[in-house]
Amino acid sequence: MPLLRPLFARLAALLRGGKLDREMDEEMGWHVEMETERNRAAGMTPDDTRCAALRQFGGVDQLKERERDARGWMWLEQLGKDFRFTIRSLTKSPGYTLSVVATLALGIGATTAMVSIARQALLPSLPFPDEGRLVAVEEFNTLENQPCPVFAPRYVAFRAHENSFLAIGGKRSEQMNLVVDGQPSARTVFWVTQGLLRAFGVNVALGRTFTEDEFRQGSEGAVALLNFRMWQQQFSGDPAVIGRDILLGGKLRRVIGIMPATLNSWPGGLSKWWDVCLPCAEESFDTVDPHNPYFETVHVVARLKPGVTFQQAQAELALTPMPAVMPPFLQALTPRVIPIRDKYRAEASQLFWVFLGAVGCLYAISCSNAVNLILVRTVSRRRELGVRLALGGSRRQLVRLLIVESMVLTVLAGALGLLVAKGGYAVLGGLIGRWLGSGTQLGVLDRPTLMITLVVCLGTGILLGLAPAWRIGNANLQDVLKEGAGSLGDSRRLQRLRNGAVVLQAALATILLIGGGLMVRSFERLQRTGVGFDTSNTYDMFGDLPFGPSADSFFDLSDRAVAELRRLPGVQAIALANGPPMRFGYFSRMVQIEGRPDLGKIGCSEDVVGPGYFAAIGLPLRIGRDFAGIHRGDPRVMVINDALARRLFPQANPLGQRLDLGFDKVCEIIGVVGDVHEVGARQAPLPHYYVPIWQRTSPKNYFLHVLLRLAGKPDAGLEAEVRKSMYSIEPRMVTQFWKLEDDSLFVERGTLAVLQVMSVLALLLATMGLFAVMAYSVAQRQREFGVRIALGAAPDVLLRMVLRRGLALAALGVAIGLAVSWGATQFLQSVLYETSPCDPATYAGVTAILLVVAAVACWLPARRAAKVDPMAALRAE
Amino acid sequence: MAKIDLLQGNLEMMILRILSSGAQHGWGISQRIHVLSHEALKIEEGSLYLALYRMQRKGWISAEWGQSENNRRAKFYELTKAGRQQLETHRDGWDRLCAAIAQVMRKEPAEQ
Repeated sequence: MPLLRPLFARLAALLRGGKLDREMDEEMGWHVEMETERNRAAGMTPDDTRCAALRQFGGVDQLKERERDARGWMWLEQLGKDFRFTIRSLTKSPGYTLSVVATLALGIGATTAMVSIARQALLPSLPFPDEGRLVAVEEFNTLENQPCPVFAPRYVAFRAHENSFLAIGGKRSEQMNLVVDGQPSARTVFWVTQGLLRAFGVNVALGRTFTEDEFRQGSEGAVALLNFRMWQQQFSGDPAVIGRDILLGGKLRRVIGIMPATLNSWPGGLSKWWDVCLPCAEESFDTVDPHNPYFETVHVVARLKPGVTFQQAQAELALTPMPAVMPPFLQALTPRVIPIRDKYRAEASQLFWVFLGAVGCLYAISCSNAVNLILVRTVSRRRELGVRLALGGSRRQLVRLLIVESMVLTVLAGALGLLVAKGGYAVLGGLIGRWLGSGTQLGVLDRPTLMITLVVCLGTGILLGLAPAWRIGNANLQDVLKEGAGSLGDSRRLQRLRNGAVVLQAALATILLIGGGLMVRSFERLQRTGVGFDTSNTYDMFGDLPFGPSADSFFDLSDRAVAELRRLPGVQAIALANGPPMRFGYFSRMVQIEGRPDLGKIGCSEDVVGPGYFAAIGLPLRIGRDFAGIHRGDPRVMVINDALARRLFPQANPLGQRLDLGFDKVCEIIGVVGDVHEVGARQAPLPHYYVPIWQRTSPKNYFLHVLLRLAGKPDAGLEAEVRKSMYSIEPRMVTQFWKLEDDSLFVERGTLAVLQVMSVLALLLATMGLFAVMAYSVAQRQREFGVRIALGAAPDVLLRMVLRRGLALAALGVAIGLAVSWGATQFLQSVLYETSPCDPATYAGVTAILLVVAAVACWLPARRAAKVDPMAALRAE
Repeated sequence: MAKIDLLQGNLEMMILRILSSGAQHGWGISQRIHVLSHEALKIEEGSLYLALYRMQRKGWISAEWGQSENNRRAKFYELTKAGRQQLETHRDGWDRLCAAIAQVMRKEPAEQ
């Protein structure tokens, strides 16, 4: 390693400098001695011999010094000195140190947190072997132009016809009661096929996995695998639970193993949170109830054979013949083969680029703020630095000192920044945690995160050190000494640099504020649009009835449930339904006006509801009446929504018209209600109708939903109370209780909150920066102001002069920021609702806010300028 | 006769040359240079040691403590493989330089 040898030699020299010195002494001493000896032999007088020898040798001490310089890492020793000096000088000015460190810590911390979250969101790490071959199979309804779940008959057909996969499997989910010590809790149970576990290729963390026999029809569900998180929470991570029986869904099932923590949440799909896995036979998907259009939906995962591409697999699946049992409105389906990685990616992941840009702006503001503070300090230290130069310190040494200083500051800031990042995780997790794909671990300072922080820190340190160093490198020694002694102002170039920093900060703050402002405007409009009904204090009691009661016992049960719930405190309205509003995003039915097949069929969705439903969720009745006063056995009736009324009867009065729902069911329209935005405020409402609960056909699975409107916020214990009372009337029913909310806005809400937090921080930092620069320049020009006042300038004139200068800088920054925003906000387009990225009101508002804030920041320094006492200022130096 | 000043590179080259015939301590090297140059070169002997340390760091020579002729502890220097290569390079360069300079010095300057 010839290249490394000098390095090792120097390192060795650094570590054992003393030993090398002694050896050098010995060697040189011996040489002089030999020389002396020789001189004596040549016949010199004893006095002369040694003198001559030394003369011949040269200056011993200078030689040794030169050698020490040459061999060692002198600069490293110097660095140590610089470091100690820096610590001393920083502790002497704690105010300065604190403000620089705090500013930088904020920037570094926010950047670290955001970059680490974005890294996981954009480049998730998957827990499966050879995950590149793992795919999800989904369906797309080409008629409605929207995604659609995979229905069981289609899954069976795919399995029979595919030839592209090493393994393909499905999972369906079900809610079950888990009863531990008499306490029921609702659990999400995944029925998984053998192919699914084979496709994933993961092993259990503890215990064993299912055997082939356990997947056989008949023995299904006798054994169970637990979710790692659920095992920790419910069973305190006790390994003894393996081999024990648990009471789940009214049956005793033996726990045989624990799934690994990496599968705590399932990739993709709506129900990614699960608790228990049960084995399910492939044949269980074969049985189809021909009268039930609600087929079992299956979540399908497969592993590609080597050499087969996604496109090939998709093309092959597309050739699968459509099963005859599929209803006509569900025949325009195209399978989609999607890499599993895409299912893991965060929702709205393109927004993370916006967040990265935003945090980049914040970081730049915090850096330029720190640069400003450092520059100000460098200027006040110019005399010290000048004296160092005059006494023979080289420029390189000065630059080194300055870089050491900024490094110390940034390393301190980095350490503090990690704490900020920890806090940032908590904030960001609350705001956008829901978007993150399953498997994302928030708030873990893992190695990549620490690397990011380190790189950010070191980069910042060098950058911050170079700014003043560049100044020193260019400085004229004499000027420095002269100016330091009694300058009227500081160098123009330095001033320009500081002004530049202020302009940059104002520009970046403008960009962030505009981003935040646009989100506020868009969000306001979304909320004004709403989802069509009143979500405040509206709750849904959901009972899953896997035992499939007969119609009579169902109504008996629902009557008892309603009576029980009515006893809850503060119940204002209560109604039965077969589901909460806002669960449809697709069509499940086709209707046509009776006797008018020429008009064609209209796709829509159906809700089966009890009397009082519209009042309970606050959905306005436009015309006609609701189901009050209609009883079981009366002729079939229905209520349609505005959207369906517009589609079917653009001119005519819908009341009294009769609609054919298929399956030999014809209903008379008795009312029209407002629209529910099923997919959220952003999407236009879809055609929808409501029929009384007793008109329902008999589905395979029974659900009991009771919608309640409470007078105010419920007590904390309400949910447990509801679950307990429901368990008492029917122990097989799985009960859940939640508040109805417009969930569809969570992306908007998160984006809004993140941009708001960032833009407020940016505004604060930029204001601080402007204030610091103005205050400093006023302090520097104190003498000038004194002279002006002495010569008769009015204080008002000075005040205006300072204000004008500060505002000019801010205005320039704002102008640049507005121009950049014009282009940059296009990235927000996808989340903006009825708001242009160039919304003039937002731009005007942000400009006004920034200028007002700038005026406030300049006001104090300007007042100080106007109040300068001329005598004091002139006498000062 | 006035003694000739030495350039740094030349000293290194001569040290390499002397060590090519076997390990030697600093004093011995200085004596060899005196003898071989017929006492014509002026070496500040201290700078000899600086050159030795420098060459050691470059990896051309290695050093080891040993016993001198008069039974004193002395540091012996020895050529490494890299040093041997360096000597060849130096020798080539030196020959060419000498030839070129000799060429120039032999010719009469052209008449102006």
